[in-house]
Amino acid sequence: MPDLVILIWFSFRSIIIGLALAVAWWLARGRTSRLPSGLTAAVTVTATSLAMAGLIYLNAAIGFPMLQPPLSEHLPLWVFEMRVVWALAIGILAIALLAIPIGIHAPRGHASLTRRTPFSFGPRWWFAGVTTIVGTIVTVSVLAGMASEPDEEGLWRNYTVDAGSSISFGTRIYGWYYSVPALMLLAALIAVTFVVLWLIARPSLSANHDDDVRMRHLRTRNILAIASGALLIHLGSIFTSLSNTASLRGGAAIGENGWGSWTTPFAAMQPALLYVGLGIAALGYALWFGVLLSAALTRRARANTDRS
Amino acid sequence: MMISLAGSAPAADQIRDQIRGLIAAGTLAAGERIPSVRQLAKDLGVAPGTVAKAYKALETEGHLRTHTGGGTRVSATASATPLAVVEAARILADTSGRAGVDLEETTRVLRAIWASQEKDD
Repeated sequence: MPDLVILIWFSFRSIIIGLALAVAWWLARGRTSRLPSGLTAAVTVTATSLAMAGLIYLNAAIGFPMLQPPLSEHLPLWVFEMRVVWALAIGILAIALLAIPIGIHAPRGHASLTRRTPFSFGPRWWFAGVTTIVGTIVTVSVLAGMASEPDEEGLWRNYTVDAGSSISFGTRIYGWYYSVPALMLLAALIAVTFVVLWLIARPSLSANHDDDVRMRHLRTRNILAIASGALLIHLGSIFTSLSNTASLRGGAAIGENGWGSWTTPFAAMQPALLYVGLGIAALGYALWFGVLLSAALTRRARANTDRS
Repeated sequence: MMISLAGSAPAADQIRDQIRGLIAAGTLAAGERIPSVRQLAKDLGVAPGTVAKAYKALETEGHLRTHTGGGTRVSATASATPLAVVEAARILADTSGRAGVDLEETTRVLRAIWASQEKDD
């Protein structure tokens, strides 16, 4: 039993910490920005639940192989090898779903003189934060890609430490083989986020001006939270992957009785990469859980109110 | 900051007069960006050419200025109220509204803070 608990903790520690952070946020401040009950809340609950369930299932399938789908032998291997891009792919689907309900552009004979752009209903600091995360992902991906080498299959995912005298040690790294598809998904995530924010901002404001503006602020916040969460989980996966690369250690006999050991040039960073990666991923999960709580608990609260 | 179309006056004239009025009242600040021709036309349900005509007239009068790629903004010389002041006033009005503080009370607080800051200076 304790072994199972330890396995669960090591498989889901970022998710568990993320859930704890989200609950703490919800108790402290979350209740002030709840989604009103209705289609938007229902879609938000559905999109975030499916996204969380998908990601938790894929993570569980790594720790518990019996959970892996009974598909062909090659597809699961490829899917699980590319686990670093799961959050981006799932995030894109969730954000696309959050475009519902799509507002219509109904002329009403009156208009607000405020410009409505994809950036109009979100705080500037959040857009700056997303830009910073994207910049960090691209920088780390390029640096890791430049350090990668092709393996025997010609795939850029190898990292070798040269120990001299034709001795070298190698392991996997987050090279171009992983980062090129990830960067393409990153671009797709940015594009989908921009389009959905535009779809939220574009329609003319309804007669109930204040409620409409408030709802657009909440929806924009949720889109940014899901996008930031996907980016942070992805960045956390990159750091965790690099910590595995940093832990490479090799040894070889030198001469008759000598023994030499080698590590990577960034071996000292291994614990930092691991814990920063786990922390960043936990923050990403916290954002996803926060969106889920803001939509799910509101619905229940409203239902209680209606009954009373 | 709403504009509405009513009556029999040409739509372009109504748009021009109302924007001019908002600038004169200080509700639209110097340098503030206003909606694109396309957005305003769609919201009002008029042809883009109607809004473009109103914007062109205001530009000729010196109330607006248009930069390629920079959108349309209230001219720096058209409004005496700096954009930062109008934006801060909007935040204050919004915060007071959410806190249930009325205009009179908000004005009283603002006057008190203003007086204390003048004393410090």
